[in-house]
Amino acid sequence: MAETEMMIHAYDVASIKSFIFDSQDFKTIVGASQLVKSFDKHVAELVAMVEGTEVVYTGGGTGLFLVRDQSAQEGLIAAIEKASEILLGHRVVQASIEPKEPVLDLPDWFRLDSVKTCGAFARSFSRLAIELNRKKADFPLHEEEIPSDSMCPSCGKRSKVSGSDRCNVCKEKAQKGEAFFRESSEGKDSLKYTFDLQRIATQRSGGKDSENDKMIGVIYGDGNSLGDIYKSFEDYKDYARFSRELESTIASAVRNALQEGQKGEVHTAAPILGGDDLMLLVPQSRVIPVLQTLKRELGNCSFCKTPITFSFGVAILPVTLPLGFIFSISEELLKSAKKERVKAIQQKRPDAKDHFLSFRYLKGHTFEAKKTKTFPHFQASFDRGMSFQELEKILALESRVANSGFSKNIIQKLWRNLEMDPCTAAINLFYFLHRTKGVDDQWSKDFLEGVYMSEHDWKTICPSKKEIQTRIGTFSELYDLCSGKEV
Amino acid sequence: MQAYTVTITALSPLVASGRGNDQNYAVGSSEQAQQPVLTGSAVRGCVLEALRSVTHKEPFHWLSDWIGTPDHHATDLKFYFSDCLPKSGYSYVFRTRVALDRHTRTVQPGKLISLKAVAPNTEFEGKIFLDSQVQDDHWEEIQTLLESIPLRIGGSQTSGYGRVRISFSREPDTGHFDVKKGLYHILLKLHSPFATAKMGNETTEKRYFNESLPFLSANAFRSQVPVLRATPLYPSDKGFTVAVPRTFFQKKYGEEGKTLNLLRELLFMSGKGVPSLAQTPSGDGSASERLEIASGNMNSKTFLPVSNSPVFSTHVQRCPQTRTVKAFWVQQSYKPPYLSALIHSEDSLSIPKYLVLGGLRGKGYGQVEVESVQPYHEWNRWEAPIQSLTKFMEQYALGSSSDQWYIPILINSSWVPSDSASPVEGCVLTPFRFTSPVQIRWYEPSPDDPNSGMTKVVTGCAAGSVLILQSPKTLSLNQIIMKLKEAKVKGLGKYTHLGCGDFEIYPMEEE
Repeated sequence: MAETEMMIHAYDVASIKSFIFDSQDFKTIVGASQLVKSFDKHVAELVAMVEGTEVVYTGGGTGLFLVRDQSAQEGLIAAIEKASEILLGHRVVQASIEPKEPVLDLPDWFRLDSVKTCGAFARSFSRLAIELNRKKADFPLHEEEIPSDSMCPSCGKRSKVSGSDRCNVCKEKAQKGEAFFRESSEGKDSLKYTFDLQRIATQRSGGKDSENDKMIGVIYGDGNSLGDIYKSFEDYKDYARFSRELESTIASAVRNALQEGQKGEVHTAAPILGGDDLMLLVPQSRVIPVLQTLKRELGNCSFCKTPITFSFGVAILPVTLPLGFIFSISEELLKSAKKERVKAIQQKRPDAKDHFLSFRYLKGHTFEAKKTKTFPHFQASFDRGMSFQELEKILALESRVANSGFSKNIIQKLWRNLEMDPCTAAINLFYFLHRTKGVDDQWSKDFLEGVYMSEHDWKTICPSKKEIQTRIGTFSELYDLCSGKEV
Repeated sequence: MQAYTVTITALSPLVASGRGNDQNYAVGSSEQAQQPVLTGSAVRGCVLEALRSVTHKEPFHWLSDWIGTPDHHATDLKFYFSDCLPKSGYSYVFRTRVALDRHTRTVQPGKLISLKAVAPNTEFEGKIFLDSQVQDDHWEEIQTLLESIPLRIGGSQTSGYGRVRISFSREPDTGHFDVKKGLYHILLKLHSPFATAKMGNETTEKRYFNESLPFLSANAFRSQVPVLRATPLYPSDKGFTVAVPRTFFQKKYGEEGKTLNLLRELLFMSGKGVPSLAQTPSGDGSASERLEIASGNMNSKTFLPVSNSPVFSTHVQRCPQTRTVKAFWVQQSYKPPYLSALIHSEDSLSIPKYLVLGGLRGKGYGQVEVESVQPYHEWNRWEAPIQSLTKFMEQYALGSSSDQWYIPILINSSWVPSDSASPVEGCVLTPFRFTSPVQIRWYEPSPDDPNSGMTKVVTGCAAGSVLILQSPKTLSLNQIIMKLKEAKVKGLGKYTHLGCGDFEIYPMEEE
């Protein structure tokens, strides 16, 4: 078979999110994620044995292969189908395309970007995605009647297996999850993955029943504009190499971030760690140090000419919240961070090339990721994203008043002060801060410009007609996290 | 149901919590849309506590049947309180309190409590819906009693906070809406948030957190009003609401609320096998922006998304004897301004003006007032989109003239296909479809044993899915529309009585 007749073949685990998050039990979620990992690995092993095929990449429930021999295609499809047994009957769709490209002219009214500017690999991948999506739309229909007392309490979708408290799928997932955590705890590695969130939350405070024990830090990261890098690939080898390098860089950055400065065993959880995504659950006191190490480690992506940056959704949440909800809050915050980054690029701000994050400290049962308080002249968006430079400036401000007379009481006064016009608010700010022991005028000025009226054009006459963005919400929540101590 | 307006006047500062408050303060009043709110559950607790204190007295013995006793709470409540919001202006008072050492009677170091309370004289207004079984003279006795005794609401009551005066005024006309046989669009105004239990995940050990779906199920309405069929009650901005089609996209990291209708682009890509990127072109030299599939609900005329943010409320159950907290849970709910649905009545019917729908009705959730019931007329606008799509398919997606009509269908509530090959008589499903699966689950109690039953789990096509049907041009467009109208009234596929199978003709934009 000639090279020109080669086929590109792909698979994709359909509704992967629903497969992983069927249950809100952490063990089961991690187990499902491990099953997907095992499936990807198993497919790669099986396909490697099929002659005339080449594995480009498998991971994250997706796989890409080259088929050089048409007769090998059947073997490839059969191998993927066989491996899908690992996924306990969950659907895997497959599609093939010829590398020969169709005419790419788009009509005038077409409002999407053409693939003309993309590399050959990305063009093929787009066509494959269309084929896979078409197959996904043909999902099988299923009807089942289950006696209510036999319903699996973990997923609420299937019938319990006799002698067990769960359905077969949830049982297998939970077993896989347990095995993963057991291997981690029995191994020699000081990094221990656990499904006991309480254990993660309490390890820094020595397990005392304090307020801190009830909260856990969630860091959800994702690479910025990696699509633009993928778009430029001409060759599938570039894609495979890049994906591998990226994954190993992230894995090593995560490991270093979790272990740096820690003595003895570190208990943590990484429910998502694959592709350019990472999600870590850490004690709340470790959130800032972990972020700082991640920033440093992820900035060293030497395998790519274009510097790679990340955005993070970061939340401190009650440890008892359902996991699905924890994920959706951190996902929303990640989106806020990305939005701010896009805004920074559009405004050509100097920090646009930095990593970004959106931070919330959610206590007191206000579980909205997004929160905005509008004053007559000010707007306090708690979830508004910021660059790491801005975060570091705020943390430096917090550190400079650590152990001084600056307290939550002052923050409350400054918060109420925002009801007034900007000039009065600024004068009152200086009045309150001047009376506070340990706060100097330089700090007050930095606070005014960096936090209190953060997006205010100081060249315009005060009060500005525009609504002024204030960061005091974020400052206050970071103050809650640091408890007024030096970071 | 009979409705009364409740006015609650603060006689001392109030710190009634239960919903989100200002996180800068250790103790604060609940806030909603940046103004203080007395939740229906807090008002109910305040009223029940006052009534329970008199049930042992001779003239009020009958009250025990209504509200139970301190030891035994009644399960079947006869009145429902809505959220109470400030009638006109409001202000706050700020206090810093200290904790005292019980032994030394001195201030405990570091135990400062900052408090944000609603100022005295603030007036709150809400509604109370009274069950029609309640006798007028009984209610008058309760009303007189509540208006004459001191009531307390919220926290810090022992420190003098939370004293209120309550008064009631009967709504002049409860009214009702008479409908004849046919399909109607019903618009409901919400007085308190609604909650619908989410499917699955029953066991999560964390049962203190109850999630809710962002809409009310059709069954929630049908259990209160005997209509033949109803669609799910979607959040509304006062217009007719439909599910956002899966062919509507939004900028992934752009401004919220702006969508792009990309059905034509997707059909072209699918029909011609031409790939493109899910991003906007960078014609002006600026960076292109990534797109993602939009979700939720939108106004059927303006195509603007309907916002529907969750509301979180904290509930506590106290031990009647010790007054200590026995149980605690957080309830997720939603409070859009309106709810919109279609109802199909087979006979003449009278719809009460006030209804209590969904879960946790006794806790102040799901109070709605029927705003309007209008005959459904949207099908008068169906011709143009069919003509537009047919023309488009011939010109671009297929590239040749065709002897078929192409009908764009937007699935508005989950569709479970029946065994028949075609969802609409005389029409055939084309391979052009943009669908996603959804699992629907409902409970069917056993007719013999009320304590057991079956749970039915069905996979269907999710709301927002888009299908393209085709029908030979041997049928006139009017004939096609007649068949579509019949299908609209009946519903597509199976389980239409549960709200499944509602559809609209896809909102094709003018070329």
